[in-house]
Parts: sequence; C-alpha cells; structure tokens
Amino acid sequence: MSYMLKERALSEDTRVVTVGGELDMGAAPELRGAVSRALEAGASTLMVDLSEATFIDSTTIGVLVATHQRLGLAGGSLEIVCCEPNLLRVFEVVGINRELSIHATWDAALGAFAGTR
Amino acid sequence: MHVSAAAPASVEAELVLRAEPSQLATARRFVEGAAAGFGFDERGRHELAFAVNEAVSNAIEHGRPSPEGTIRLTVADEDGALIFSVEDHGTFVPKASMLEALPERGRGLAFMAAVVDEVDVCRGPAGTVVRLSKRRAA
Repeated sequence: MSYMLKERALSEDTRVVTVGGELDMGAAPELRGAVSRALEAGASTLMVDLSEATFIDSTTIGVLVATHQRLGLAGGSLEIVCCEPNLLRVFEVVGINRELSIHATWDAALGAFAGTR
Repeated sequence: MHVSAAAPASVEAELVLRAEPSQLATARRFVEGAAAGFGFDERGRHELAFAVNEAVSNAIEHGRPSPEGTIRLTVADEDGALIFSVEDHGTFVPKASMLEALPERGRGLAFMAAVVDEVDVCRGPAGTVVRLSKRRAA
C-alpha cells in the first residue's frame, strides 16, 4: 500500500478528504469511496488535500473530475489543495488545471470556499 | 518479478510484472531508474513514470496477460530518445470517442501523449504493444 487516506468534517456541509502518497489505480477506489461517503453525508463543499501526494494517475484525476462535475451540478464545489510541482505539472499538461479548482495552500482553498458563501 | 539487466547506463532492460495494480509502483521505480540513468531531470523522470504508469494500468485493466499472467515492460535507448514498451496479450485499443465520453475513464492515452514525444499503439495477433518515446532535452 503506497498511499494513505483520511476523512473528516469541517462543518455540517463541508468535509475534507486528505490523501497522500502515490495515487494510482490501486488507490482510486478508496478515494472514490471516501468522496461518496462525504457526499452521502450531505457535504456540498468537499476539500481534497493532496499536499502529501507524490504521484497521481488518470484514474485518480478522473475521480476528481467526476466529483467536481457532480458537486457543480448540485450547486456545491470541490476545492483541491496541491503544492507538489510534479502533480501541478501533470494537471497543467493534461489541461485539468482549468477544469478543477486547485489551490497551493489551505488558506487559499478556505478563502475560495468562503467566497462561494 | 524478473529484472534481466540493471536499468540505467546503455539502457536495455526488461521487467516482467503480474497484471495487478500492486505492481504499478514497481513499474514506476523501474522507469525512474532508467530515466535517471539516461540523464532525465526530475520533471522528465516524473513524466515518463506517469506515461508508463498509464500504459501499464491499461494493460492491467483492459489487456490480457500472457498465459503466465504477466505484462512485459522493456526500455531501450534509440537516437537520443528513451523508449519504453508495454506488452500484453489483449487487443484493447482505446477509442478516441471514449476520451470525451467518460470523465473517469479513457483519458489515459491522451494523457500519455501530453507528456512524451511519441505514443504508438500496435495491435497484433499476439497482443498489444504500447511504445512511449521521449527525447532528452537538448
């Protein structure tokens, strides 16, 4: 197992999923499950913290994109925290950085979230 | 897992993987080692690991392993480029239309093409070979 995952609630409608390590197709089902649990628990804002992630693949990016779309349709939002240059580069070259809301720090992500209220 | 040669230097090496997600990290370490030996910087090493990871993931998910249940990953250098080949015994070729249709799937091929110089998918009677080529920055 080369990844770790944690889930917590910031408030009634805001939940955080922290996922670190190497996020490949072995990790994607766990992330998908954590996201589903957060949405089923009533989260309209989901923060995914990738600060400790060192690798991300298309399957995991797909989970993030699907979650972004699902929350968007419901009037919520997905806010991603990521500062790892290799991951940011991947988001950029595949053009996903324009689709997803990605922040370098927690403060920036919380600010974006506050701005939607 | 069999490594027939040490990854770096005059690069010619082979890694035989079981068709399981748990083998992806092994594949990435192999790629990073070969890319470092070839002189790629951190960014190039990560991009190659990303691209090969996609190809091996496709082989695990859609391919059919050899009768021994394995996928073959090889590396070689050719005219200033490092070339990784991923071979399985299935005949899956991603269709372009899948790239847009399914947000969670099918983006792998486009993603590979975004980070290497050439992606070739060859489907033959014996299976599918995905060949990824990336030149060292001048």
